[in-house]
Amino acid sequence: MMRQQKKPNLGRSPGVWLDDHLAQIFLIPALILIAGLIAYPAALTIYNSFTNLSMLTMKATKFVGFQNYATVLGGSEFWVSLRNSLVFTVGSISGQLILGMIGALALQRIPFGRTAFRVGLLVPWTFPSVAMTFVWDWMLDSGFGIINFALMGLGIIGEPIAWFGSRTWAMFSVIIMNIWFGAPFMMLALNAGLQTIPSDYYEVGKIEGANFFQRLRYIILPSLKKIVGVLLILRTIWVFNNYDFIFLTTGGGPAKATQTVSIMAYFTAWKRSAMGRGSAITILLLVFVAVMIALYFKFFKIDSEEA
Amino acid sequence: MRRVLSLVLCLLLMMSIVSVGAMAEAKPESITFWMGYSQQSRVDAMEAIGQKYYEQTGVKVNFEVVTWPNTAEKWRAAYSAGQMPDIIICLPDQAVAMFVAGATIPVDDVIEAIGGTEKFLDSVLTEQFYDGSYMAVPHYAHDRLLIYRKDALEAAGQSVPTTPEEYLAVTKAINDPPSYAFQQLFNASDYGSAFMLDIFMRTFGAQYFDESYRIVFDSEETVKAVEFLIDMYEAGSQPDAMDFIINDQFTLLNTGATLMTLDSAFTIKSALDSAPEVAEKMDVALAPANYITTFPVCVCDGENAETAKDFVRFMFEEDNYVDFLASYQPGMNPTMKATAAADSAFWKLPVFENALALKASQTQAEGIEQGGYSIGNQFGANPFSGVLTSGYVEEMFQDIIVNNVPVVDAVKVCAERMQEAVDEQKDALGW
Repeated sequence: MMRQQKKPNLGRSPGVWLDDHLAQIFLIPALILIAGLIAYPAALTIYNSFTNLSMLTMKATKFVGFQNYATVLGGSEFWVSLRNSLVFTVGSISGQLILGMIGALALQRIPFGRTAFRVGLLVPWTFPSVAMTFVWDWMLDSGFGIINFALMGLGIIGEPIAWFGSRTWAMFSVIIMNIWFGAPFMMLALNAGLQTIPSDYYEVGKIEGANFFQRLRYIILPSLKKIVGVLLILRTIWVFNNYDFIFLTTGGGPAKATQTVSIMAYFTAWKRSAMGRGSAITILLLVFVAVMIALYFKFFKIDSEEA
Repeated sequence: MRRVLSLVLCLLLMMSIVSVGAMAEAKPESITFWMGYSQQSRVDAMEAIGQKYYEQTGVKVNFEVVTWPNTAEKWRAAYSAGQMPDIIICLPDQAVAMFVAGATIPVDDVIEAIGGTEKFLDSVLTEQFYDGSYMAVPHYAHDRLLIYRKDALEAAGQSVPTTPEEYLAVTKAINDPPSYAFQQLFNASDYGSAFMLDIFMRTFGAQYFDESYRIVFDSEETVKAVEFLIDMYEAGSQPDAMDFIINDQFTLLNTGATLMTLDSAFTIKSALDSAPEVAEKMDVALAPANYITTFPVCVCDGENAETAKDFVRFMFEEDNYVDFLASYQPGMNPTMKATAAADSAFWKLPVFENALALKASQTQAEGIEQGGYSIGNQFGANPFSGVLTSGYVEEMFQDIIVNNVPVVDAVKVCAERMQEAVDEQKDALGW
């Protein structure tokens, strides 16, 4: 057998090597950025969750193992907050999705001035949360809010309702506020999705004699499945982690009726200086959201090629 | 030749050592100052003082507005990142936290440079003293006053209340929804009811801490004070009290949604500016106890500390100090004896031609002169007063009202939760 001679690597100049690895090289800045902005804080939070880090001294004096997790999971406050987070998220996102879908379908039927309507309907989304919560706070005030005034004027209610001040209404009120805020985003994204459905589908539906609900069931919703999936993922992350709407209106009250996991984490870490325990709460929150996102991926088959 | 070269090298080395030494002592080109003063007039006044300092020393003072609540989070982030400013004006409990963490340094020498402790009013220095040294210089002070609508009291034939019983009687007499007599502030994101309760607790002989910082909240006196505030809520507050915070007081008073409250003269300033027709009907009196708050100026531990200290001293020069106080009146009372004296330039400010403004400031001055303290500071500055303003008291009130928890039980649970938090902090501090 002839000994195979090793090929001289004459053509492997630095230029060729650069060409071969250009994609990886271009990824380096992004990877460094991701490591700095996501991986490092996440790793630090995980580390802190196993210590007794106090915001009073800015020091951790002990490695406490899983004690913070045990304390959090062993108390009722976390489970109440988790239930509230779920109610707030499911209530807000379903409302936003339904309203967004209605808005998107309505927009599609408008023959002219569609852009103006789109811009107009997008206004709530552009509001800074502080300004928005301030306005809602005063509109829903039981003493002089316009909502009570209108409802009483119409004879719908007999006496003023403490929208943010009662256990019955507080969660409902913050959900309504969040639906008002988030529906335009859904509407815009769904409207863009509707533009991608080939007109042939509608024509076939028309020939087959499909009514509106049948078109919705068999043409529109299946075509929008992936967009809805992505929207649900994005909105779930945002709403589940939302902190400012509730903090600025009810502060998590009354009697924890609107206290979500994010609010609990803030109170624990910042107001009560227990950053170690606060970090454990945020890690639990992260795990819970990750599980929900994984379920969305599975249900909506977002990463598959199937349309 | 080699000798000459060696000599030149030695000279260069010596010059570099000397210049590095000189650089370490040199004044910086600028220093950074965080302040909670967000109103334009206060910002302008501080910037004018900074400009004067620049003209005299060549050191520029860069002011950054960091709101009071944000300071608590921002200094910690800055400290962790090694990006602290040179000076911070903050709330008293934040000053202790920064000092305990080692982010700020003692300012005994600054107080000495200003003229010594005897230059300051007695009641304003207590909150600045911790662990054997002064951790801050009090920039200004205010007292929580009874602010009331005299037209409402006159219409109901009531006189100005002084005791809890009188407060309740007046509240019942003047309550006329949607003009409520005395709105409560039970939102747990704030400490509105913790401070309100503190004032009335003192009249009932109750307190949050004992001298060793053990929670003694679970007492008969506290129960009486809590029951009193619940009675006040039922007699003169709307259910939205659950989401009202301290800053809502301005709007509540200016719109007539509350007729009486306990707050500083800042609320009078707001009414004079935003609702002069309502301000005409307002009056002030001392609260049942003096809840005095000071606003500490802290110097951060850093390479510009000496310059920062010099600027703090400069801020308290008579002209600069009065110019600053003049920028928002009534509201900010002097902490220095000379400025607080009846014949000082402070009391000759044009704003005091308005009778209500003058009375509000004079009443605050009277309270400060009598002496008092803010929540948890009856035994001086300490790291645990922040526990009292962490929402436990507000959650207790919400439990009583919304969940019908008996007052005795709610007080007990609240005391236990606060004690647990204090214990955790003592543990962290190695007490």
